[in-house]
Amino acid sequence: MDILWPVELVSDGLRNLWRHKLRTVLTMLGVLCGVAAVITMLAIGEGAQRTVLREISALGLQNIILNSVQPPSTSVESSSGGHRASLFRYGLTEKDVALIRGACPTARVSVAHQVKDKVHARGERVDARVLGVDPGYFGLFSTRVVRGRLLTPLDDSRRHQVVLVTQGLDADLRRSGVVDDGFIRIGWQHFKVVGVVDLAVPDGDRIIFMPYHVARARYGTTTVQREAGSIEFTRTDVGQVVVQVADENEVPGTARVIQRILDTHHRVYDVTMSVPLDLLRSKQRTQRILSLVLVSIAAISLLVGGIGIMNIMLAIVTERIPEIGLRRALGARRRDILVQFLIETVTLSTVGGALGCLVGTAAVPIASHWLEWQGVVTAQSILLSLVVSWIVGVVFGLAPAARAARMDPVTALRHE
Amino acid sequence: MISLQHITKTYAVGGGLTVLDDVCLEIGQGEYLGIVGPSGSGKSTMLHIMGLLDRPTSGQLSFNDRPVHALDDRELSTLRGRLVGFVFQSFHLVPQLSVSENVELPLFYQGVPRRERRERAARALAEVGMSARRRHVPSQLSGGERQRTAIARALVTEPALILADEPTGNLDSRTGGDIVALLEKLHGEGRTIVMITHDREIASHLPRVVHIRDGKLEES
Repeated sequence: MDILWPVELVSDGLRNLWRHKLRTVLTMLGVLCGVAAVITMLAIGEGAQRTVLREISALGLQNIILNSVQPPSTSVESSSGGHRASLFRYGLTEKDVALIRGACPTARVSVAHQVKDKVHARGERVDARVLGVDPGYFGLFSTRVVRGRLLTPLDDSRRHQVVLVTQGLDADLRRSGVVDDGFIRIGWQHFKVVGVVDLAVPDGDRIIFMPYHVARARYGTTTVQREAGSIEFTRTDVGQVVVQVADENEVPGTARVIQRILDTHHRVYDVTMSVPLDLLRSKQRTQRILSLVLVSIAAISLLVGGIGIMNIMLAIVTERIPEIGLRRALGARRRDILVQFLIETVTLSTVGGALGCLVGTAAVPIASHWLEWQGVVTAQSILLSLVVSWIVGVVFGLAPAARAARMDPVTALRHE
Repeated sequence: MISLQHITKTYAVGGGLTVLDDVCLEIGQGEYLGIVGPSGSGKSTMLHIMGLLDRPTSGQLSFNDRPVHALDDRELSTLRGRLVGFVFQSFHLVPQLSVSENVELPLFYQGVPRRERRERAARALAEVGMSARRRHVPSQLSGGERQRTAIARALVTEPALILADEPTGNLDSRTGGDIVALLEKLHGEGRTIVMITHDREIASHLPRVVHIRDGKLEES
């Protein structure tokens, strides 16, 4: 028979390991820690990846989002004494929108109107961005209605004085006493809060949504700001444009076209463009590098564990030289001896690896608690760790086992 | 049955050390042969060569007219397990295995199934009077009991030849006597036994004795 019964060799190996419990535990500890580290690191990496993926996917991977922003150079200049009146015009224009529509005929383009008037709730100033949006706007993002309802086409056509608020803002409003069906004041107009939504847009979570035409009709495009002795008019035609293409593959090309339009018509930096897909790609890249670094560190500890095993196995082989000689005298071939010691090492490393999986999995909730994101232990990471610890056993067991197998039986028998 | 023809064994240390010098020996089926000689005379080397553990530098070794000195390690190991049973001065039992498992060990390397190994080990242990101690581990046994276990291990494969290297060397004279009596009994049952011994008393009772001095063999 070519191969001896490995089951008996494994049970033999286990018995040998059991006889020297402390030594076995200490030897296993290296692989155990290494595997536990690999499991935890992979879980953290995976968890981070999923969190990022979820957050960015919520922005809509087929979307390109343009926002008007105040350019850095238009901060209010105040000259001492005299009256000053100035008009600043910045951000997206109707012309931009027309050009974008023309350049991307297949894309859905949704326009939001930004209202710059101050927001008050129960007499208190509220820091929030106000957008007039068409009802289709919410379909572009993964929007969740937390309470109440969305805006309807009827709200738009009948010019209903209603708004939605985002979840983050809702919490603040409740603190100021504005509850469901409460009213908030934007400029001098009062609006009824009809719903709370949870949606991810690039600029934070403090947004008030009102019907597009209500915003256009009530507030226009120009705002007036009075500072001591000066009046400033700022005009923004279009607050936000969301372009949604039919397929993710069209995103990069469309983004390039839009960028070219913006570059041609805007001299100053007054429009931001965010492409969730790009964001996702770059985040994924960083994430991958992070995971690689984490796993490399874990792999080094696994390597150290393997060297530890090899060291102990060499000592075990030396300790058992007479036994090796005896087994040879009883008919064991070189290969039988090799297999015997290899199985012992692999048993050691695999049991260590399995325990490491348990410890690593147990450590994930603790690590998650600290990192504030959920670590995810995947079946692949468990499988990978077990295979790796098995390989560690084979690789680092080979040298000691080969040494045992090469031994001359007569010399081994005489060894004291 | 076993034939050594012009066996020479030299070691390449310090300009060549000759341990066995042109040794010729024929051992027949059912013989009980004693090998005596001072330490370092080459007795053990001869025993190891007969037991296929060591290779002669030159000369021919055959078992039942089959030359075996040129086989490779693999064939030699298999043959060794089947043809030869060893009994050592220091017993050489595996400490972590039970008495029964120690006896089963040579069968394990022959690929004998577990149940059959158990049965054959039990029979061999009965033959040496160790049935009651089957489940003990070597550290729980007396010297005599350990040597009986080792003899059972040598018997279990039904070998053509039992080689005993000073089997009484580590035992007191009474226990040693028991072991000698046991070997005597096995010889009586028709087994071929070669024993190295220092003990003139034991040697004087053997039917055939050869002396080795400085690697040369002389029959008395």
